[in-house]
Amino acid sequence: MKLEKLNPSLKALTVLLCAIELSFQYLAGLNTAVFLVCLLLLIFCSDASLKTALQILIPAFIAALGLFFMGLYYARGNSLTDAELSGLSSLPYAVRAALSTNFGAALQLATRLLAFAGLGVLFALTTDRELFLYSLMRQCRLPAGFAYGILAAVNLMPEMVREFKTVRLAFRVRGLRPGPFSLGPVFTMLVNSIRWSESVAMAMESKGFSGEQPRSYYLRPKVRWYDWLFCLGALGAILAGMLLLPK
Amino acid sequence: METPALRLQDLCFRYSEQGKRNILDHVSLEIPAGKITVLMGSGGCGKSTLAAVAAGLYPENGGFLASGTVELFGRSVGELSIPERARLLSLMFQNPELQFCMDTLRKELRFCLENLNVPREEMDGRALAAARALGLEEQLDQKLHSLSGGEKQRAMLCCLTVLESRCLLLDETLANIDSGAAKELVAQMVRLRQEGKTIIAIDHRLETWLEAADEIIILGQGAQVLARGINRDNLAEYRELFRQEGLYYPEKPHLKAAALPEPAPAVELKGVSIPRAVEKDRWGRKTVRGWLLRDACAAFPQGRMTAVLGKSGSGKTSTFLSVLKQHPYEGSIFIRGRDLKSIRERELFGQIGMVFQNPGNQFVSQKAEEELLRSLRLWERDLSEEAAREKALALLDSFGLRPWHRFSPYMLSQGQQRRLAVLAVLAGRQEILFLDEPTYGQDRRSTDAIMERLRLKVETEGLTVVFITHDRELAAAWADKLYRLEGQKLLETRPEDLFEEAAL
Amino acid sequence: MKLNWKLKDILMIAVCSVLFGFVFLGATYAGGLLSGVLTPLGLSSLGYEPFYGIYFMAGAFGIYVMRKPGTGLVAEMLAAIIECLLGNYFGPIIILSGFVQGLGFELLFALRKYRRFDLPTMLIASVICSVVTMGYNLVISGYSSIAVPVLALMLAVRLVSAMLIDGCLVKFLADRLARAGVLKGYAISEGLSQDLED
Repeated sequence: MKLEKLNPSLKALTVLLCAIELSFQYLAGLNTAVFLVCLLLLIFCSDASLKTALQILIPAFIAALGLFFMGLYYARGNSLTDAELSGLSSLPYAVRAALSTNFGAALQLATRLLAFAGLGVLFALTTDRELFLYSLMRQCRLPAGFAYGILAAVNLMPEMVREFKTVRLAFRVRGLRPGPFSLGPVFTMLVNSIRWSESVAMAMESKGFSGEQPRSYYLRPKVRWYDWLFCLGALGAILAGMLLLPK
Repeated sequence: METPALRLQDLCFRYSEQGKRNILDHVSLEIPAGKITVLMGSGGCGKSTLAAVAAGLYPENGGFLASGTVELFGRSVGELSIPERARLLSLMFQNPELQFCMDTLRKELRFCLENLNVPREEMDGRALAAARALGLEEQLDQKLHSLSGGEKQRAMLCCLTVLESRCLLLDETLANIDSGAAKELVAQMVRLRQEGKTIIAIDHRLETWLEAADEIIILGQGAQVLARGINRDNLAEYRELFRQEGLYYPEKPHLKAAALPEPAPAVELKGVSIPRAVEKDRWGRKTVRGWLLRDACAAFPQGRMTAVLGKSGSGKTSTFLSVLKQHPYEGSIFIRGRDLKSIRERELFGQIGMVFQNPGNQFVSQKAEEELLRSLRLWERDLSEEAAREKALALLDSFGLRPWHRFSPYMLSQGQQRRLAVLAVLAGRQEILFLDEPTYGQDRRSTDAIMERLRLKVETEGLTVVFITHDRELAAAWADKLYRLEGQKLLETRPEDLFEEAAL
Repeated sequence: MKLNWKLKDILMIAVCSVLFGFVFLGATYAGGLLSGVLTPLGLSSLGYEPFYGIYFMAGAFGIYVMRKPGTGLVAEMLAAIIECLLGNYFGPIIILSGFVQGLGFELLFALRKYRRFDLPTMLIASVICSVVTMGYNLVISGYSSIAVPVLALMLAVRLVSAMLIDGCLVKFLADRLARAGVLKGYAISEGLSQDLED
C-alpha cells in the first residue's frame, strides 16, 4: 500500500488534524516520534525520493534549530530575559539555571516544528498536483473555476520566470539597476500578470470552460475505507502517544 | 439562403458605460458558413474586440454592449451556455504562450473534453486522434512551454478540433510564428474547410491567406465594413483602399537598393559560437546544451540598417543577448573595434540600446514624458530640468506622441507603446539600436512609422540599427544589409534571394 | 457566502499570488539568512518577522482591488493552496494558516461594511492581521511557551512589516496599476476619472 494511493483531500485533512492535535500537547518525544514515523513512511510506503525530502527539510531543520535556541534562552517563566531584565545577566549561575530548566521547553518547540514539517513533506511528496485539485473539487466542493484557475496560474510559472528576467534586463539596458527587491520590475510584472490572466481566462472560456455547467472528470478520486483508516489511525496513534508517553 | 455562421446586427460596444468612443460602432456584418473569410483592418480598428464579442467573451469579461445582437448559426449568443458556444465558435489568439491552462497537450485536451461533458471513456481516444491528425503525437506529453511558437499554435488548433467547433475564429494567430509554420497552419484550415468548418481569420497580413481565402473583408474605424467580396481575382481593384487604410498590400515587395560602399562595422562577430543553454552541475562545471551559432561571422555596418532573419527558436534573440553580454558566447565580438570582453556593462548600455518584443516590459514610470525624462537624466546629466523637459516633448513630437505625453505608457496603443519604447531607449544618445521583432503586435502603418523614423535617424544622425524579424518583406524593404540565421551560421543574403527561395 | 468570482478574477489573484510568491522568495531566503545570524542569540524566529507581511500580500491585494465580501479571505486561501502545491514543507498546514491570515486581514473591512479602503484602514487591517496571526502562532507553533517580552518584540517587528508591505506597498502598487488603466473592471477603478489629453 503506497501513500500515493490515498485520497489527497483526506490525506490533507489527516495532516491538518494531526497538526492541530499536536498543538495541544507538549511532549518532545511524541513530536520526534511523529517526525520519524513520517520519514519511515516516506521511505517504505512511497515512491518519493528521500533526497528530495531531505532537501525540502533542510530549511525546516534550520528553523527548528533556531526555535530551539530561542526556547533555550527565552522560555516563559524562568527565562534568560527575566534574568537579563533584572540586571543579572552577568551571573553565570543564573544563566546555567535558566538554561537547564528551559531545555525541555526548547526541545518541545523545535520538535513540534519538525513534526509539522514531517507531516507536510509526507503530503507534498506523495501527492500529485492535479489529483489533489480534482479531489478538492470532488470531495471538498471546490468550484471548478478555482481548481483550474490555480492550475493555470501554477503552469504559467516558467513563462513568468522567463519574462521577469527579460523585464530586469530591459531595465538594465535603459541604464537602471534594479536591486533584488526593486519595485519597477515587480510593477511591470504585475501589469503583465493581470493582462495574462485575462488572456488565459478568455482562452479557457473559448474552450468551453465554465464554472457552473455539468462537466465530466478524467480523474475521479474516491474516498475508500482505507483513507478513513489512515486518518483515524493517525489521529488515534497521536492521542495514544499523548496519554501513554511519560510527561 | 443558408444561415450565416456569424451575424452581427447594429453592434455598439465600448470599454465602459460612460465611455465616449465606441470601439465597435454600429457594426452589421454577416459571415457565411463553410468558407474561409479574412477580416483585415488597421491596428486599433476594433477587429480583436469584434472577435471577443462574437465569441461571447465580451461583455462577459469586460466592456459594455450598448446595442446590437450577435447570432452564431442563427442562435443568439447570449442564450447559449459557454460549452454550447464553444461548440459553435471558438477562438485562437495571437499570443501562443497564453492559451493553455494545463502543462501538457494531453492534459489540455482532456480539459477541453471535460468542458463538453464528454464521458471519461471516450477522452483518451478522441485526444489521441486529434493529436495524430495534426502530427502532434510526440508532443502530447511534452511541457507546453517548451514547444516552439508554431507548435503551440498547432497544439491550440488541436484543442479546437477536439471541441469540434463549427467555426474557428483566428485572431492574428499567424502574427508571431515564422512563415513555414504559418503556411502549415493555413493548409490545416483548408483541410478543415473541406470538412465543412467555417474559418474566420483576422489578420493584417494577407500573403499567407490569399490563396486559401474565399472572401476578404476590410474593416475601418469602429470595425465598420469598408469593402467586402474581395478575393484574389479582384484584389487589384482595392489596392488604393489598402493603401488608405495602412494595410499590407500583397505584391512583389519593394526592395531597398544596397547602400554602397559599406562603412566600418559597428558590431562585428568573428568566429562566434553561442550555446543554446549552459547548465551548471552542482560542482559548478558547465555543460553546453546544444549550439545556436557555431563559428559564425557577421558585420553590422555603422550608420546602416541590418536585418537578421531566421526561424523562431533559431537563436536570433540569443545572438542579441550575447552582444549585450547577457548570454554566454565563445569567439570574439567587437563593438566599434573594441573587444566586447573589455567593455563594462554600463558603458555598453550607453552605446547599445535594445527594444524588446513586448515594449511594455521596458517602461519604468507612469507617464509617457517621464519615460524620456528618466533616460535623459540618466545619460545626459548636464541637461537642466527645463531643457530636459523641452527635449523630451520635442522627441515625443518627432514620433507623433506629443498629445499623449501625460498618459500612462500602458494606456497607449500597441503601436504607440513601441514608438515610446524606441524613443526611451534612444533618448540616451545610444548609437546602436537592437530591435527584437518590431512587427510584433503591429500593423503595417505603425511598423512603417517606426521604421521611417529610424531611417531618418540613421541617415541624419548615423544611428546603427539591427533588427530581428521573421517578416521577409519588412527586412527587404528597410534593411541595407541582410543576414539569415541558418544551420548555425549567419549568412549574408541579397533581398531578391529571400523571395526566390520562397517560391521554391 | 456566495462565491460569484469570475474566472478572470480567480486567475488575476492566482497569477499575482504566484508572482508575489516567487518575487519575494528571495526575501524568505534573506529571512533565513538573518535568522541564521540571530540563532546563537536565541532570536532566530525574529529573523523571519521582517518579511512576515509578504504572507498577507495576496489577501491585502485581493480585498483592496475587488472590495467585496470574502475577497481577502478567498484570495489568501488561493495563495495558500498554490504555496502548498509548489512544495512548501508545511504542506496542507499552510492552507489553515492562509485561512487565519485572510480572516485576520478581512475582519476590519467586514466591520466597516466594505465601505472604506483608505490608507488608515489598510494599516489597521495589517495590525489586526498581525495580532490574529500571532495568536494563531501562540497555539499552533507553541509560541505560548516563549517569554512575553520576546513575543512582544516579534509582534512589533511583524506589525511594522505588515504595515509597510500590506498597508503601504500593496496599496501603492494597486493604486498605480489602477491609474495605469490595468485594473479596469475592478472595484478599485470605479470613479477613477482620467482627463489627460491636452
